Amino acid sequence: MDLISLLLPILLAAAGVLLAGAGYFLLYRWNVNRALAAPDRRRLRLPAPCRVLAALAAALVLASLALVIAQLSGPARLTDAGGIERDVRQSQNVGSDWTVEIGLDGRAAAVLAYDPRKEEHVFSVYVNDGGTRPDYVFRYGGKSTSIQRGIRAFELEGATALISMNALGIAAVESHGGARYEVAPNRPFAIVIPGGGYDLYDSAGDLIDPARSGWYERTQVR
Amino acid sequence: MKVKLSVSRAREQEVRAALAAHGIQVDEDADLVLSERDRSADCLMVRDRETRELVRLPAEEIVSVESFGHTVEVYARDGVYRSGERLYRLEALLGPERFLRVSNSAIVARDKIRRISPALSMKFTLTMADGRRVDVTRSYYYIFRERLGI
Repeated sequence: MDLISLLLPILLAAAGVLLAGAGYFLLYRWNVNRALAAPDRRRLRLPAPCRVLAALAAALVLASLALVIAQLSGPARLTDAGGIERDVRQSQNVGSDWTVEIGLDGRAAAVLAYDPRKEEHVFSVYVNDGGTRPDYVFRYGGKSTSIQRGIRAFELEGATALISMNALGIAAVESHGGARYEVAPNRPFAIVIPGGGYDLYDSAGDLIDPARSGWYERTQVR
Repeated sequence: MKVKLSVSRAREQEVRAALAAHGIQVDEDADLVLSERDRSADCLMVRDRETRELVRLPAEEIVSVESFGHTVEVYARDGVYRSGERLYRLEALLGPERFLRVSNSAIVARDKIRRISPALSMKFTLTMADGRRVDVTRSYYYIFRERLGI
């Protein structure tokens, strides 16, 4: 639960209540003194300011309670790697002895969980739906032969998630924008790199063509 | 026997004469009061607070009447006076058309209220023509609103 997203609307509403109360008080005072100046004219009968303020305060309390209950009862937001790992382990029944690799940036999260013998895996791809405030939402998941035997790329706007059990022995990924990501050549990985294309290299620095393995899959993420 | 008169000016002479014919004296300090029904007093007999002089104070000059313990003070435009009457008696004498009870200890002249300042709670503060401030208490809040039509 994001404390700021909870407190900010309540504080704004409280400020609004105070302003409304002050405005009503001025209106009430004006109305009362008009009655003094022109006693024979029909007058709008306004309730006492304390009653109006009490009603506004009660409405504010009820609205705040409703907001808190809605926040507490709603699904938890996934905002960091820890939260994503917990979600993966719980939702995909990942064993406690499995390793979870997570690659995270502001746009997406790539997750690969695998058993100690690297014979089984599950993957997940989350997309950040929260804008400036992280809120990763699950988009893809399960098992993939491409991931087990080659590499699978999930392409979204401005980023690419690369997930692989690293049967190809990839040691580095270099985006066409110039960013370089080192990975252990004998270890599965899940990373998120800037969009716009990339190259794969082995530990000797030679270029790897993932298509030659026959297990290279690209998925457009909407 | 002595009585105090509370009658209109038009009938005062007639009543005085009638009482004198029966040997009854008219005295402002008498315990017995002869009053005219359904009539508001045109004036009050009060004593100047400083000089203790007995004064006939016209009702239209009264701004407010306040009681402090056993003392009742009458505030007029030109000074402060004291009355020997109880506040509830003065309220009846002066009449509800022109004077309003605003608390257990104050009566104000309706036409001498210059400004009403409401509070957040159910109270008003009245600024009177002589600059003094008088509070309308919670007990009289709705009565005051009803009387002023607000």
